[in-house]
Amino acid sequence: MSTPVFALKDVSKTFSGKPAVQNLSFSVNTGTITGFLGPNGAGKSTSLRIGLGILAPDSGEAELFGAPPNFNVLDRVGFLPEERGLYRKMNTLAVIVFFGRLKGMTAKKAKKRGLALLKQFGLGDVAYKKVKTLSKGMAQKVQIIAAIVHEPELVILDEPFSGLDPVNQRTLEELIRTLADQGTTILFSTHVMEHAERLCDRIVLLAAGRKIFDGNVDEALQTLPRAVLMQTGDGADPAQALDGLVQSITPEGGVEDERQNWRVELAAGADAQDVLRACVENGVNLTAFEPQKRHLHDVFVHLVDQDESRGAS
Amino acid sequence: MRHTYLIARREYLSYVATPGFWLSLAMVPVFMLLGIAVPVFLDRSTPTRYFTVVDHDGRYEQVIADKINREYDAQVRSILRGLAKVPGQEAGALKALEALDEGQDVASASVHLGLQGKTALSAIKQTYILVPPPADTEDGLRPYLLGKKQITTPDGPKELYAAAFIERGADGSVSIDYWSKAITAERLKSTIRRAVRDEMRTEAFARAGLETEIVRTINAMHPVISTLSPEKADGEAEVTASDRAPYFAAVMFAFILWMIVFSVANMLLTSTIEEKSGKVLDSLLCAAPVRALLTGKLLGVAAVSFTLLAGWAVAGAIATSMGTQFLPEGGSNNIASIIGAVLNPGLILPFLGYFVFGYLMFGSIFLALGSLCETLQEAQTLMSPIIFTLMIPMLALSFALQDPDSPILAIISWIPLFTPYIMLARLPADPPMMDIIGTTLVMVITTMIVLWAAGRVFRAGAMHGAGGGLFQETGGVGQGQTGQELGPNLRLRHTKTAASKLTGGFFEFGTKAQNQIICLRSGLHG
Repeated sequence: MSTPVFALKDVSKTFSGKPAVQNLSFSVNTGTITGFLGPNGAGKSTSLRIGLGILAPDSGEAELFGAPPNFNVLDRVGFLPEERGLYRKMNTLAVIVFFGRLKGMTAKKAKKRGLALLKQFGLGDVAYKKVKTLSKGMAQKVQIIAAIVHEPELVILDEPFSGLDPVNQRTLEELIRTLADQGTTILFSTHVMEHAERLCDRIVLLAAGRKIFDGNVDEALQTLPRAVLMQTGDGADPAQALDGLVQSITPEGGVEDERQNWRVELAAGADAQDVLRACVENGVNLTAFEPQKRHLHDVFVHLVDQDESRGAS
Repeated sequence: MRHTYLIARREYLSYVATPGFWLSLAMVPVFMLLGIAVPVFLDRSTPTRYFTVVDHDGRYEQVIADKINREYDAQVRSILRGLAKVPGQEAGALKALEALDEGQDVASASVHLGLQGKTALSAIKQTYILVPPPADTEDGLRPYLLGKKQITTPDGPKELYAAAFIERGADGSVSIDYWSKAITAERLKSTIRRAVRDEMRTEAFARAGLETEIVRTINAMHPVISTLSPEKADGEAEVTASDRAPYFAAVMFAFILWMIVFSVANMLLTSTIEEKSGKVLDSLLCAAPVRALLTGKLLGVAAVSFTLLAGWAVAGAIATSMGTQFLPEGGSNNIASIIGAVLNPGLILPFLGYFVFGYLMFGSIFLALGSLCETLQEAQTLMSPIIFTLMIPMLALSFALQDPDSPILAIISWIPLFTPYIMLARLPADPPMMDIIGTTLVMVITTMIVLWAAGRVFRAGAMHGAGGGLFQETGGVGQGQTGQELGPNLRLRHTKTAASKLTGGFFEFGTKAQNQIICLRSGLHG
């Protein structure tokens, strides 16, 4: 088994008595795309900063490429911080070259690679323009380029999609996939689940500084109870007909033209086919039937709610 | 080293690429050149003024003409004496002086001079020339004074600049009505007054029975004061311009040091604030160690100041070499003495040393301040006390020329923040070795402490900026608290309350066990 390129081991961090991260452990393996998910204020940025050695943990350990974070291994990491900014008075390519050189590249190589990336992102014509003349989206892309220009083995992106329009979000998704295809390990934080669902091999879900899930997307989806959305035509309650097949059956919305919507959570072992068959066999007047598609977003909301309920109790 | 070099390089290039840098570079030599050229230019550009004297008694007209000629003659002789000390110009200048002694006019005497001598002599000219009055009444002269009529001169028709009506009272008193459109110009009026006053005195002494010649001799008498220094050898004890030059040079160096430290420290402050407000620090923190950020910035801006100094030195050398050609004897000698004093390693080396420590102390303080502030407005509230502090050595330096041994200067020089400026000014007066060694030690130790503390504050301030999302992370917007690591035993704590959003927050420095130092910071936001 290969050494994780990024690891937090039982890390805790408290700010003036308020826990920001609690006993957090997770690792990122080579060549994977890992989503670090959680609501605002969950402790994602703090965790990433601890992982990069920018912040010291109160307890626990951080490792990069199997060693405590230091500037030798940090040269192998590209980091896009959540708070983004560039030298506004420098020209675009010069900024990229500057960050590339800080990470150990030669000026020539940084310039060549910077120009190539600018062209890839459709920014070839602004290479020699001052950063202050760029739009917000363009500047953000330049910053992403600055983070990856040195061809890092590990790329850590803190909320990379925020501030980008849908077209540029797609471009960034493509870049992440391309980097991963080239063997780069990606760890990115987000609270927008769609990106994670499309990109990630693995997700780590954080709430209130604690890890509440760690696994792949399918495993995450499995945490949600399977459900069916259906509509009955005569206002009758189908609960009796579905006895034994469902965990819960909940009316949704009001009755309209004697039609009633239901959300049916399936019992363990049952599937949508069983429910449909039971409805037909028991004469339930079905006007609509749709197995509910599970999304990471629902997993996220479900797990966070569950965690908050546990915390409250 | 790579990080430090790259950050220093970026910092340096970012400044030398700005118009402000070139303005600063040009400003000092331009002012130096202007300081030399403007008086010369003004003197050359001032047209010859023609004036007249209506003296019904006829006693004073010639006295005034003689006075004006003597003043011009003294200026010409001063230049010639100066030229007589310039290699290659000696013979011509001495011949010209002999010609003047023989009663030749300046034009005739100048034929003995070379090009440099003629150029130097052409810098001065007879500004005022007395002409016969075209009319002898005020009404008659008025059109000439107003430029409606012109007088005839050897240079063609010209406007009459001024007219003096001299009246003698029955009691021997003399009144002068001085007419001129140039109502603020005093020079000619003063010359006329002095000429008439001297003649009145001569007349009064003559009336009292003294011979006119004796009176003139008495009037010309004045004591010869020689300033002597007991520190110099017998026979060579007279204080010369060369002896005074180190004092002037030291104070000049102290002012330059103050000016540079103040300007470049401001550069550090604004650059750090720009990086914080522009959120660039976040990216830098992952790309370079905080120590490299701090050192790189200090080195980059130090390089900017050395470039400025080098530029000014070159411009100064050019300006002085040009200026000495146009200055009279005393001026060029003084400049030569000051250049000699400036080039003295005994002053240059301490200047460089004091620059390093002064710069490190104030530079690191300004860097630390910058790291704590998000905007320049915020920084200005913190800068005011530092600017007031920096003004103290400036005020003290004004006493340094008059009394470099002043006990006040001696005391102030022990305050490490002021040591570089005050000790530099005191050095030519040979302060006690105890003062030199003691103040230097205190300054070096203080610089180390300031650097250490500033480094920690910078680290904390920089990370505070980097952790802008910490309030979100802890979910405590309006009530949350953030903390940043300063080191193993030091913690910077920023308490943010709803009220502090409006009035400012507090940074508390101290050990984890006991916070000790409180520094006000306004306008914090997470």
